[in-house]
Amino acid sequence: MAVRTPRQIGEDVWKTRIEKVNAELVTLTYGSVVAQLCKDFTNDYIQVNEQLDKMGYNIGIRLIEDILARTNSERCRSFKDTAEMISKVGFKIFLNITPAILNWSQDNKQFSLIFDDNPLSDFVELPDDGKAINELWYSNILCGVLRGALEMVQLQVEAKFVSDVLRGDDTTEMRVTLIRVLEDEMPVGDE
Amino acid sequence: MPSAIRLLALMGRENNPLYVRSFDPTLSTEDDQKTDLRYHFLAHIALDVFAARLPTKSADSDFGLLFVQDGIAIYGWMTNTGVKIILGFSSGEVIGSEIRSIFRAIHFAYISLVCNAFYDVDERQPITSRKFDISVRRIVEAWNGTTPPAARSVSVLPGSPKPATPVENVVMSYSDSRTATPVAQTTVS
Repeated sequence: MAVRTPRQIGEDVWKTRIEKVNAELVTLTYGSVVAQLCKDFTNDYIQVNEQLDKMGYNIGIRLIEDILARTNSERCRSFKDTAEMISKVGFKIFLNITPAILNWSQDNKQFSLIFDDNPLSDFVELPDDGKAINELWYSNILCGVLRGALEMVQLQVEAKFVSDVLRGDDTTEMRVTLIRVLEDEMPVGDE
Repeated sequence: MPSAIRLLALMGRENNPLYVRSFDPTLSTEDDQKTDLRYHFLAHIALDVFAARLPTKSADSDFGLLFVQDGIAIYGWMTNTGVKIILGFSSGEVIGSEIRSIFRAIHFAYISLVCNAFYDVDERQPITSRKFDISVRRIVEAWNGTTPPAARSVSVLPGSPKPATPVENVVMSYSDSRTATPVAQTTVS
């Protein structure tokens, strides 16, 4: 079989192997999760960001199994391949968006995902308390998802949002940094 | 004279004012408070008409022309959840289908507002959302500013051909409303 590009894989899987769900359902569910977190933590948005990231992490470490099984994709050869897979396959099949990959760092260990369209934040307007707009990363769950998913394929990354249209920025941008490639570690005393 | 929107009001289920704005270009901001009072008054009169017509009303949410007062024709629309949208037009003819499309666009703007998880739907407080304010202002300004006069002052003479209705200016589809931009291409800031 010919080698397929990530875009083709993403399109293909999205069309044939994904059960679709109403977008408003997702948006409203995620919205009420975030709103509830804000209430529970009495608007301590730093905490809320952290919780969202943790939730995302727990999603990510499971989701990666699913995505690899569905796509039968090969191991990525470089971090650039990984970025392509994240955007064209990962985001494509779960959210039907393909964020643009831009701003590579010199050492090819950092890139940005630019979200033109973010289904999670439809309808959303951050609380007008003067704090949320500076502290809350509304879609922070996505950072956790990436972190969790990549960790399961031996890539330790840091992912964080650096701008969000909800805060009045021009773009929604997530910065992903490769920290190190984890080795398959032998359990202690198992030699 | 072409008809323009002079008043837009949203009243909640309990007849509490959610959003009342006047669009009166002749009055400076200093006078806003005063005019607001006058328009508040009109909006509240409309509530009585809603209440009176409700028993005979079927599923349709269009209440049509409610009354005319001080040269302003008040039209009403009530959603199934009891939110009333009230529009006041200055003198001039407007056709029903055009009005309906504005009501629908405003209704969708309201839907987008309540779909925001941070908006408290139980709230009896007036709407403070900037996003909602911007989107309804855009709808109103698209109507007041860019509608060709020929289409606005629709002649009611029998036999005269109907001008092309500028519905595209205000109609929003549901999916469009999610991006909070009405289809109006000409953005009036």
